[in-house]
This record gives sequence, structure tokens and C-alpha cells, in this order.
Amino acid sequence: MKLIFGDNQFFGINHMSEEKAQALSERFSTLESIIRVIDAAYDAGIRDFMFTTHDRVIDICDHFRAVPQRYRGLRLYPAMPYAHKYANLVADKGIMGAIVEVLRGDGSSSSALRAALRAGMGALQQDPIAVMRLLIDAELRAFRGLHVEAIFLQNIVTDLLLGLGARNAFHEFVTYARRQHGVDAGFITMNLPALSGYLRECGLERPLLCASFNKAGYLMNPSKESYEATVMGGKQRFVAMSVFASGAVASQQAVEYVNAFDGIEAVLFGASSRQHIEETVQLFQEQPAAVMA
Amino acid sequence: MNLSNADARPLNGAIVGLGRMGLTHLAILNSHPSVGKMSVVESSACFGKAVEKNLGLPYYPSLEELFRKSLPDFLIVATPTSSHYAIATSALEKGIHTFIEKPLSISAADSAALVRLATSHHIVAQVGYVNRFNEIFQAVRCLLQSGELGAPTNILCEIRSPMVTKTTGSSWRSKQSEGGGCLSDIATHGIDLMNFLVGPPETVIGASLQSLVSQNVEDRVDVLFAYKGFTGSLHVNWSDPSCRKPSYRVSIEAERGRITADHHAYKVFKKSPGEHGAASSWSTVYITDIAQPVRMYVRGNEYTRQLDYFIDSILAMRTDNVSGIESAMQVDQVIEQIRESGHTVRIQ
Repeated sequence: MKLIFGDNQFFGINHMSEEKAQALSERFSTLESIIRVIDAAYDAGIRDFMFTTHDRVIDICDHFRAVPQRYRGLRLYPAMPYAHKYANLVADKGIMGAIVEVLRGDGSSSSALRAALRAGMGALQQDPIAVMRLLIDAELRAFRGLHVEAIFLQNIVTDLLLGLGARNAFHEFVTYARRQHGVDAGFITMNLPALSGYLRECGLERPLLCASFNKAGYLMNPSKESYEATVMGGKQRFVAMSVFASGAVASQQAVEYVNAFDGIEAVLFGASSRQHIEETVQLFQEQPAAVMA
Repeated sequence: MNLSNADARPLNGAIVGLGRMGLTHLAILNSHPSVGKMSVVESSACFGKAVEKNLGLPYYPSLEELFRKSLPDFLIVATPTSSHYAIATSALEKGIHTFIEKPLSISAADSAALVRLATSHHIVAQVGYVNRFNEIFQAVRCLLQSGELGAPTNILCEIRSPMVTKTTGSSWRSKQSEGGGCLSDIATHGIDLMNFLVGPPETVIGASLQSLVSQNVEDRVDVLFAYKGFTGSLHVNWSDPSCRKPSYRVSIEAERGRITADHHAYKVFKKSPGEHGAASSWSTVYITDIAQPVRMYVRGNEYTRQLDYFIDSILAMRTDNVSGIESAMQVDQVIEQIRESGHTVRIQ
């Protein structure tokens, strides 16, 4: 089973407890403390890392570029956008005002962006797909020069677009990622069965789908059973996350549960200590490897 | 609540205001099996047209034009607070079931008028106090109402948010007349949550409204409430950069125990029943222990649960709403009491 190391812990995210989230946020207040944990994951053999396009990822990527020999074989999976960056701006300035603000603040010299800003908000508003392309470029700028394996759309946007039925946006995310950046595209979702069906209807057959998958059924909407049926259908590529349900499922059981599904290609997990990383890696190694999709 | 609407015609809805909340509500309702066509009303013509073109949803530049074309079965009002009263009035007068984002309006008198209107038309009117649909806060309310801990002796609610961390003068958030300021914004969630858990206060003993970074409105709210037989306090700071996202903490002391809660967990301390009873102890319930999946998750279970409840209420013609217009009016009444009794300290 391929393991992808996630970054929620670095940004004070814990789905089970605000106290734990706060403790994490305090623990990872410095870049050094984050790099120590990334290095521990690297030493444990992990080469796949997912990073949200949080402001801090710029420093992390600078570090990767500064010591390339340390991170040979590194494969990155940027997950965009970091929603909180946009959330307050949107309430303040409206959707388009927020987007323009983020693009301006990007400090980019991209000619497409300069042209778009010259054309003004009106032009941008009429072409949300063009805006999406600019945002993808802006969000990916931090990762320049590093090997990006695939880019993911965060669930807050994926599920919004799914609910809205924004067919073009799904198409464009996949095709633009491939054409402009030469990478695969994936979608993080809290509604795996619905998204899986919708993407097939849209003619998108093989995107990576990243969703919660745990024995407790936590964050598996509308039901655990429907998730199991979707994965067993084997029509897409699946990455499981929240396999420990923020601690609600015992490690051994969590691994056994995930390994029982051949369709799961990788597991995304986060940990905040060397010991926890090593234990998790070992747990997955001890289990018979699932057949890769 | 799973009401079957298999035989009924789908409900047609409309959303006014495609901001952050409007889009979230639209995504949740657009995928609802009992909802047919959703229309959108948006003041930005460019954005409205882009939505129409890309999502295939009918767009109207104004409420009047929507109503001229056809009356929806329900309306979602997700515009800035200052416009709620006029929009909700014209919908309620036409007998349209209405969901209004919180807070209900910018004055208790306007809110009271809306309550009278909704009551006289026997329609479903709900307000977006979404914490009422959070499973942890619901469990805490059940525990309090069970009487197991006895009567409350104190309630404390603390909200911290990084939403306004620099001085801005242009946004509606910095104009009290448009519903800006911490008290009329995120603090209303705290007032409503306290009302939900222990009922509204009898009086406001005192309050301070303090500006930290804003020029014209308060960024910090501290209130002391008197309830029947106990006291409570609310502390809200929406200019706190130390937190990543809004964080709520509620603490309730009662005769036979204490509860602390946030969106993700609650802890309860139960005093031992007697000298020889079981030892007093804390226990914790996590959201992972009690959360139930939802039909379509967009931003958190509670957002879907509140709108599914709204649709179920319309289908069942249930007007006694758990987050109804009357409890929302009580929040606006408390806000007015706070404004009247508080004095503003400016530290800039």
C-alpha cells in the first residue's frame, strides 16, 4: 500500500477535538518543527507528500529546493485551495473581489494574470473557468522546480462544485492540470459515491478520488456501505484518508479495514511524531499488500 | 426525519445573494431529491449571468423580476443583514416559505414584524443559526434538559475568530447600520447558542463593546447576563489572529455537574450521587462517537442538516421550527439590550 503523508497536523487541524488541534498548532509553530516530522517520514521510507496550499508551504518548498539531495525521489501532491485564505475575503468582498485580491497578492508576473486584471473584474466574472486556471497557476507557484505527482482540489471546493453541478469546472481542472502542468488531477471529497457517479457521467473516467475511509464510517456520506460499494466497483482510483477517524478507530483495525479493499491505491495519513510515523508505516507493511488498481 | 416526497411534485426554490453562504446553500439544495429547479437572484449581473451560463440555473437581477416570472415554493435569503427585512417581508407576504441567514434583521422591531407576518401566514420560516444542528451542541442540550445535572448555575460562552484582523473601512462588516460589527455578526451565534442551551436571559447586567482594529464597530464583546436563578457571560473576539478558524467554547455549571463543549466534543463532570456512590468523574463524548452521515456534505454536517430540516418542515407543513424565526427574534432582542446597556471603549 502506498502511503502519502498529509499535512493537517502542521496547520492545527484535528477533526475530533479542538483542544488537540490547538495543541498541534502550538507544537508546529516553527518551520524546523515541521521539517523534523517530514524528515522522520522520509527516513521511514515515505516519498509521497500532500501539502495544502497554505502560506507556510512556501517555506517548506524553499527548504526542499535548498537541499535537493536530502529529498531525492520526493513526490508532491498539492491540495488546493487553502480555504480559510479565501473565506474571510469572500464574506468581505464577495466571491470575485476575493479572487482578484488573491491574484493581485500573488505577486505573479504571469502575462495571463496581468491581462485578466487589466480587463477588470467584469471580464473575470463572465469566465469563471479562466479564473480557475489563474488560481491553479497561483496556487502551484510555491511548488516550482519540485516534482508534482498530482494536484488535488480540496473537498470544500470539490463538494461545492458537485452540489452546484459545475460540470465544466471538473473537466477543466483535469484537463488544465494535464495540459499546462503535466500532472494528474484528483479530487478530495466528503461525498465519494455521489462524486464518483457524477464524474463518470461527465466522462471523467480515471481521476484520483481521495475520501475518508474508516471502519467507524466517520465522514463517509451518505453511508459507509455506499463507500464500500463504490470502491469495490473499482472504476476509479481511490486514496483513503481519515482511516483512523481522528483516533476513533484502533490502528490495527483501521489498517485491516482499508486493506480489505483492493480498489484503494494509497492511504493519506498524518502524524506528528517520528514514533507514530514509524508505527503506521510498519502496520501497513505487516499487512498483505493490496493489489494495486 | 425522513419524509418521503416520492409522490409530491418537487419544490421549486430560489436563493437571493450568492456570497459564501448563498453558494453553500445552493450546493446543498441543488442536490436535494425533493427540490426541483433552483433560481438565483444576484445583484452582480456579471456573476449572475456567469452562474446561469455555467450551472444552467435561471438568474434574475432582482427579487421583483423573479416574482413576476413565478413564485417559488421557498426562498433562501443570503444577503447582508440590512436587506433581510425587506426581502423576507416580500416573500412572507406572498406565503413563500423562507430561510433567512442569521441574524434575522438589524432591529428587534423589524424581527418582531417578521415573526407576526410568518405566524399569520402559517408558513415555515427558519433562520440560519446553524449551531442548533451541530450534534455536540444538540447532545449537550439533551443532557441539560434531562435534568440529570440539575438546574444550571452558570453558562459561559467564548468565541474567538480571526475574521477581522486588519482595519478596513469599506466593507459592510465595518458598518453597524448594515449589520456589521462583532455583536451583530459572529456574537449572534453565541447569543443564540446560549439561548438554545438554557433559554434567553432575563436581563443584561452589563456589557462592553470594544474596538480593537475596526474604526467604527466593535471587535470585542463582553456581556454579563442574568437568568432566572443564575448568571451567564459571553466573550467574543473576532480579531484574534491566534486561531485558525472560528472557535467556540461553552461551559455550563449546574447543581450536580459541569459541561464544557465545542463543535467537536463535550466533557461532562457528574458529581457522585452520595457518600457511597460511584466516584465523581469526567467523561468525554467526541463528534466521531455520535456524528451521523448526511445526504450531501458541503461545509460541515450541520449546514446540510439545517437545510434538509427546512425542506422536511415544508413537506410536513411543520411551523414549530427548532431554529425558527421567533428564537431568532429573541437574539435580536438581546442584541438591543446589549447595545442599550453597554458602553463602547475605544482603544485606538
